[in-house]
Amino acid sequence: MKGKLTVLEGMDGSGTTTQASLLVKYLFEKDKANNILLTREPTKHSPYGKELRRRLAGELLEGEEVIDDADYWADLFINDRKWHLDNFVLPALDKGQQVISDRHKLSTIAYQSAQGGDIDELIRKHEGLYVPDLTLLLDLSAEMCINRMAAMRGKQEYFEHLNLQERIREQYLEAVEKLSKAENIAVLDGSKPIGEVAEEIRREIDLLYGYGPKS
Amino acid sequence: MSNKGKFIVLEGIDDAILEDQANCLGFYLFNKGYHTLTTREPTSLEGRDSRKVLQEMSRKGAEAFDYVQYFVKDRHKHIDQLVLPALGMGVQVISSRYKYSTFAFQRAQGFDLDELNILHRNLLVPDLVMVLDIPVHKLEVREESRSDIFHNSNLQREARENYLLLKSYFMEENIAVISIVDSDGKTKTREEVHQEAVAYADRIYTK
Repeated sequence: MKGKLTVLEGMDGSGTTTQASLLVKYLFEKDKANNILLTREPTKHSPYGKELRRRLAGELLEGEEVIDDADYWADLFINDRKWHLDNFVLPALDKGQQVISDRHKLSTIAYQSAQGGDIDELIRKHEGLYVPDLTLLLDLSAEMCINRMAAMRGKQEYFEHLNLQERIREQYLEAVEKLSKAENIAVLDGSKPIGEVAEEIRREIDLLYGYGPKS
Repeated sequence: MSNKGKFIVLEGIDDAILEDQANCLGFYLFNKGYHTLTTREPTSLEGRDSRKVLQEMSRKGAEAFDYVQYFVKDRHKHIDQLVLPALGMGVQVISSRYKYSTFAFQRAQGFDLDELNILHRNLLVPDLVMVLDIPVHKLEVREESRSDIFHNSNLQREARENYLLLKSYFMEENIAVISIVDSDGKTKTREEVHQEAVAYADRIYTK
C-alpha cells in the first residue's frame, strides 16, 4: 500500500521540527505497520540544496556575489524539491513508508513572494509536482517566532526582521488561500503550547489516515 | 562524512521502551541534520499486521521453527525493501528489533545460536546495536501486547539472559548494553537512557 506525505510548514520558530518529531512518534506507535521517513527541505544532497544551504549560511565561493533575486532563490528551492521528491519522497511512498517533511513548497511560495517574487508565478512553477496528502501550517505571530528564535539562539535580532517576518506570515496565509481549494491544507494555531498543537495535528492525521478517535 | 546512512538497532524485551527510545534517537539525529527512517521488526510488509500474524500463530500452536521461518523471511524483506534503499540514499535507519530478537527469543524456545546464525548469514550487520536491558519484574504490564507467546515472563526472562550473551557471541559486531535500571535498582528516566544511547550513537558518527 502506498504511504502518505504529510508536510509541516511555518516560519522559523513556529515549531515545525518539534511537531514533526512528535508526529513520527504518534504514527509509529499508532500502527505497527507504519515505517516513518522524516525528512526536510532544503536537502543536503542535491547540488541545488547544497548551494542553498551554503548561501543561507552566508558562505560564498570565490567570485560569487550575494543574490537577492527571488526567482533565483525560488528556482534553487524548486529544483531541490524536485530532486527530493524523485529521490527520497516518492520512492519511500511507493514502498509504503509514511513520509513527514519539515517544510515543502508553501515555504518557497511564502518566503520568495515576501522577497518580491510573484505569488501566482511561484505557484505555477510548482505545477505538476507531487501534491502532499496533508499540509499543516503552524501559524503564529511574527513577533512570537522571532522571540522563540532569539531564545534558542541567545541573541535578539528583533527589529531587523520583524517587518519581513510579518510579510512572510501574510504570504503563507495568502498561499493557503490560493491552494486550499485543490489541496488538503490545515492552518493550526501555532501559538498554543506544544502539547495542544500536537493534539490538533493528531486530529488532522486521524482524519487523513481514517484512524478512529482515541479510545 | 560518508553519504551512506547508518543502521542502528534497538533491542530488548520491552517493546514500549524500544520504540520510545527509537523515536528519541531519531529526533536527535534529525536535529543534527540527518534524514531518518524509523522502522520495526517484525514488519507488516506482507500487508498483514504482524501482531495479528503472531497471535494467529500462537493460537494454531506454532513451534519455534515456524517463528524462526516467519521472522527470517520478514527480515530479509525488511532489509531488501526498506533498509538498504534508505541507507543508500543517506538516510539514517533506526530499527526497533532486528536479528538479535530472534537470537534471544528463539534460543529461549530451544534453538541453537549457531543454527540461527546460519540462517542470518550474509544479512546486513548494523553499525550499532543497543540492547536496552531491563529485569523482567520491572516490565510494565500492557494489555494490548500480551496476547502472543513472547509476552510470557519465563520466556522473557530467558530472552533477557540471551540478549546479555549476544555481545560475546557477536564479537565482531558493535553491540552495547544499556541498563534501564541504575546500580541502586531504580529505573532510569527516559532522558537518562536517551543520553546513554546518544553517547553510543555519537561514536559511530565521529569515526
